[in-house]
Amino acid sequence: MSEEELISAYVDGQLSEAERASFEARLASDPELRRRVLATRLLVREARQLPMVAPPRNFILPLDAARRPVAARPRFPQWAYRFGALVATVLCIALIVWDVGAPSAQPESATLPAQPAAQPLLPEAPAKERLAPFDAEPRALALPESTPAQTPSAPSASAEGTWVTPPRVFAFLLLALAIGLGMLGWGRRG
Amino acid sequence: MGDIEDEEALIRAAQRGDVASFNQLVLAYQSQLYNVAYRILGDAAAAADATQEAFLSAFTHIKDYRGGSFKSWLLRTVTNACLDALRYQRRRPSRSLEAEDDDERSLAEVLPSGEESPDSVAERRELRHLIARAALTLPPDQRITFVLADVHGLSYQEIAQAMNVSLGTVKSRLSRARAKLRDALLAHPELLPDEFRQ
Repeated sequence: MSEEELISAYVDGQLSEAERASFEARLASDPELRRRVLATRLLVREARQLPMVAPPRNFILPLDAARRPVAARPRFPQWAYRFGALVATVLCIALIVWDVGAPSAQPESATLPAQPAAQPLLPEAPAKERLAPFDAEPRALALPESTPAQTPSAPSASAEGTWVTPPRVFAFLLLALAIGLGMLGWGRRG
Repeated sequence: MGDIEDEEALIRAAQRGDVASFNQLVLAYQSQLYNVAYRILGDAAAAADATQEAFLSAFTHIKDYRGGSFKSWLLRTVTNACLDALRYQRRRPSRSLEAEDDDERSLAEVLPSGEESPDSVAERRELRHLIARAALTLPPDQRITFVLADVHGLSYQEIAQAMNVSLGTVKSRLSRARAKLRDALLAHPELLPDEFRQ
């Protein structure tokens, strides 16, 4: 028991007989401790004398209170929602950084439509798009590889691959989770 | 304050959805709950809001009440409402510490008349204002414990039930709250009795 707890317990008469005797022996030889005990006693006595204040109104409930919907109290404390939002945000950012920085693990043939053997009109396009896959337009996904008339006119579509990858879907879900938890953690009162 | 003839019957009726019965409990406890909220929040309007929210929450969840001290159960609802209000205040600090006017209004009813000199009465009034103001600077858990224990005179056991914590936690929080408030008092020796001025 700390000294403050001893003082508090002594003032409240909560010490055992032996503890009280020992504490009073210290009191007799320690003026500073005695002063603190006296001040604590004064504090407790005056706190009890703080006046009761009349309520400004009655707090009775309206008779239809039983039928009114009441917002449920949040299931978890506010800090838990905030912490969850921060964790989801960090994971989301880490996933995006990893996805952008890592070279594509998939073989080109798995993500890209089949290329014609020769592309004389735009021979550099596939290489550029491999370096900057996020510039690709999603419409490339819809291009059927077997449409010979469109292949030469839309080389970027053939080279960009799919934008919707599992890491990006997961990152998007994490972002949505972070927003939801953030609204619960910071948006609600309490 | 809580002196009602058949509290158990009123609680059972309220658990069946009888608002009128619950309102009798409200009338019995509203003064105590409001004063607890007032000393914790230090603001009359915020205390009224917290008290109203506490009673509404109590009625909504009264089916969860499983016996024991109904007063402690109600005090838990009001301290929860106060904690919510304190978090709200922390995000939007604006008003507080207006306790003094109300204190002055009702001080005459509390102080023994004719037994103290006017100077002594004024000093004690200042001392109580100092305690009320200093209490508002305590961390919420310590503040609630101090208000329940030293302002409202609840036992450690009642406070433990109301705050849903152990007896040891109550004692620890109370001792820390008292130490801080005592140091705040000792920093103003001019308001203390003669024995502190030597």
